Amino acid sequence: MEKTKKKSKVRRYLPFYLMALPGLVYLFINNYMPMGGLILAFKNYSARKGIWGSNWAGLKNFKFLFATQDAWTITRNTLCYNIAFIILGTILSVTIAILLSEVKAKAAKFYQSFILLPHLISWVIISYLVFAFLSAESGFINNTILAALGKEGINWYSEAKYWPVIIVLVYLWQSTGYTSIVYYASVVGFDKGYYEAAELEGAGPWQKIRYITLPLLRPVIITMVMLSVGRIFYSDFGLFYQIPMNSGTIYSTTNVIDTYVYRGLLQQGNIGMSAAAGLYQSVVGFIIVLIANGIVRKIDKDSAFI
Amino acid sequence: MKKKALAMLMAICTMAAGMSVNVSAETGDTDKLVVALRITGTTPADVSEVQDKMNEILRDKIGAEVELLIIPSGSYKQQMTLMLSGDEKLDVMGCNSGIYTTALASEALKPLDDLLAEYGQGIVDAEGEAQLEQGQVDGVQYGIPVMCDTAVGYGTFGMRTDILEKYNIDVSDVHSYDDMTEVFKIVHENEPDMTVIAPTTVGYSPMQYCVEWDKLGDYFGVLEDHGQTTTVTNLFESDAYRNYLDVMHNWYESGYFSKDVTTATEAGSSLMKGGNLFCYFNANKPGIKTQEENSCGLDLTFVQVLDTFTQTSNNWQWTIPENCEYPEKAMQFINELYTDPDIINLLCYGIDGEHYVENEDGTITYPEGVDATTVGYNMAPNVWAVGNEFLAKVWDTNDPDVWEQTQEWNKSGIVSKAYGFFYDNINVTTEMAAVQSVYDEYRMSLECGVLDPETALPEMNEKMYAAGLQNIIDEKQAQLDKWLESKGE
Repeated sequence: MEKTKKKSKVRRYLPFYLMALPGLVYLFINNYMPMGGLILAFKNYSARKGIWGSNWAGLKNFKFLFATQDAWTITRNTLCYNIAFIILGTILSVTIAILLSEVKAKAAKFYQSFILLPHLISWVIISYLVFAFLSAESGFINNTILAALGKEGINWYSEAKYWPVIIVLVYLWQSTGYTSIVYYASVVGFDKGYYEAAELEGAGPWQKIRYITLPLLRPVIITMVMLSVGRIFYSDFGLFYQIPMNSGTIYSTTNVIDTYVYRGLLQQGNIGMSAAAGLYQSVVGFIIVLIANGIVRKIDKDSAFI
Repeated sequence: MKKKALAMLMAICTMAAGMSVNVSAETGDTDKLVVALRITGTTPADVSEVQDKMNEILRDKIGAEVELLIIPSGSYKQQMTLMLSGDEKLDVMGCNSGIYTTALASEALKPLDDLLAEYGQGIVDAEGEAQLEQGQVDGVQYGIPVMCDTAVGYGTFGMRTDILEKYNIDVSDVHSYDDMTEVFKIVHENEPDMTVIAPTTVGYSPMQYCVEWDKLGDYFGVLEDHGQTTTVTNLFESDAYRNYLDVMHNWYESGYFSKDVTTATEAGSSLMKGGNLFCYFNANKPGIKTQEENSCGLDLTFVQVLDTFTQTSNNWQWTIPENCEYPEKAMQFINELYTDPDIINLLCYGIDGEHYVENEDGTITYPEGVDATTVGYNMAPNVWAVGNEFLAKVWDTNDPDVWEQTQEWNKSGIVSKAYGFFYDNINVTTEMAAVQSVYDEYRMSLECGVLDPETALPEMNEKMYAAGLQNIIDEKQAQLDKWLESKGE
């Protein structure tokens, strides 16, 4: 009796497991298999001896991260940028989603495609679009805007202080269209009955947003934020590598863990140190996810993941 | 019905996949060597044609084929480092001292002594034991230095002749940075929209060609005064380096460099070809004029303001990475690069009659109706890196005896006291990584003159010392002392 029940359960869920299979295989190959390579963080890698045969190095590979200010700089940059992205990105995409839901369906389609467009452009192309604005020699800002104001041109690619703003702006421009789709899809799915009832009670548009749309959106927002928090220690490599055009003087505000690891591997060819930085990123990232999840569970138990 | 169609489709896909595997297996019956080749400028259009011609010869001679992996100089180092750290197939790799040192640190290069003895007799005969020693570390051969100009004419500027003539500028009396400044001043005043000067290689500062010290492999701890001392000191506190920075800063402030110099994505020769650049940095040697004119397509005038100088670990070398599948064949191929003029000329100039034609005096030139901008293959700027440069044909803008001149040239100039010394950074990799990371932050902006050395240089030095620069200098000094001692015996 018990057995047949189990069997039927397996049979019932089998299609779902099959559907999940490609994703699981992908995760296994892409995310779990390379984990063995983390062992390199503790080794003096030798191509001749191979990964397993290389000599142990203890914690030596981690030393370089903390030998300079680098560890602090890249951790700070990664975290602060991501926090800014999450806060500003969420506010902006929710706003856009609500605005879209207020305009006529046909116009909404147009706006939606229009703001989605940047998301489909490669970072390399975007970096040149940005360069067209910021180039010291022929850029739009220096030659047209600042010149018209009678101000002297700024060498954008060697002034670190402007980059937090530039990076955030470019990020929002590129990503908001995409993230707002999720919110828009939820908003248009809300039961029209609530709004009609509210209108009968004499609620204005602002009140409808404040007391109906936003509370209904809350679970979606929490889920989306949680997903972003899970990746708070990772950064969009293209954004941080391509947009600043690898200019050294602005590393202090543009270098994040991913670009640091990449540069370390490329310029020094030191796999051990790159693996060490990667491991550091994963471990700290993991801890932050657990903390964030704990906080969410306190606020809203149903939205937490674990 | 739908299901059947789907099954059919899948079957077809599987078959197609299977077939493509078979096809590649069939062509693979001759060993294929992947050869990494660095080029200045853009990848030539007819590479595969030239490669086929080379393979016709190589199949008979060594029973292998080559696949040329052509990579622009700006991204070459990155590409090689990535290929070496991954599992990618790479059989023969040309490398400069930077790539060489990194590759050695992760033991990514095969020791070549046995291979050289068995398959590389032609190399030994052509190059001689003494020069081969340049590719040894602690007596083990890891690299085969190419035969080319070893002395480098630093501080050389290639300028557009038409502009010089237009403004009646006489450069025969130019012997210093200050004299260059005067030339630039005239050009800048008359051609305000033209960029006056640009670095040569993407991602490198002009400092690569403004050297007055032996960098001893990397720049952290050098021998000042053209290596005429044996005390390792910090380059970034030397007068020569400071003077270089002051000159660059002055040129940048005067508007001679493009304001976008640090983010440039095009090589000097490409900018020149594009038509809006007056001058770029270079290293002098016999035949430099032809080499550079072929890549930028304009008539150039060269002047040299620093001394000609030979420093250690500055060779371009052929190496065989650990990933190599057929080391014997790879060594045989390198051997061809030192002995077979047909292979060498194909690699340098392409196909006779199509990419070049021979003159009566034995020199070569473009076929009729073809020039630098339209030719399908010409690697004249890279002839020096091919192996035995002296077996290559001579381009007709050169003196027919340019190779004899080069042999003479190598004997001229100052030779560093550390010539032959190889510095191994294995004991200080942590400090290296940290100091390099500081250097990367300042390198381009400082050495292209964007930052004011007065404030930026002390800042960089302070950070470098904090990152362990002194340890590197001490380690270098210890290794150098040991080497000098072993030489004295």
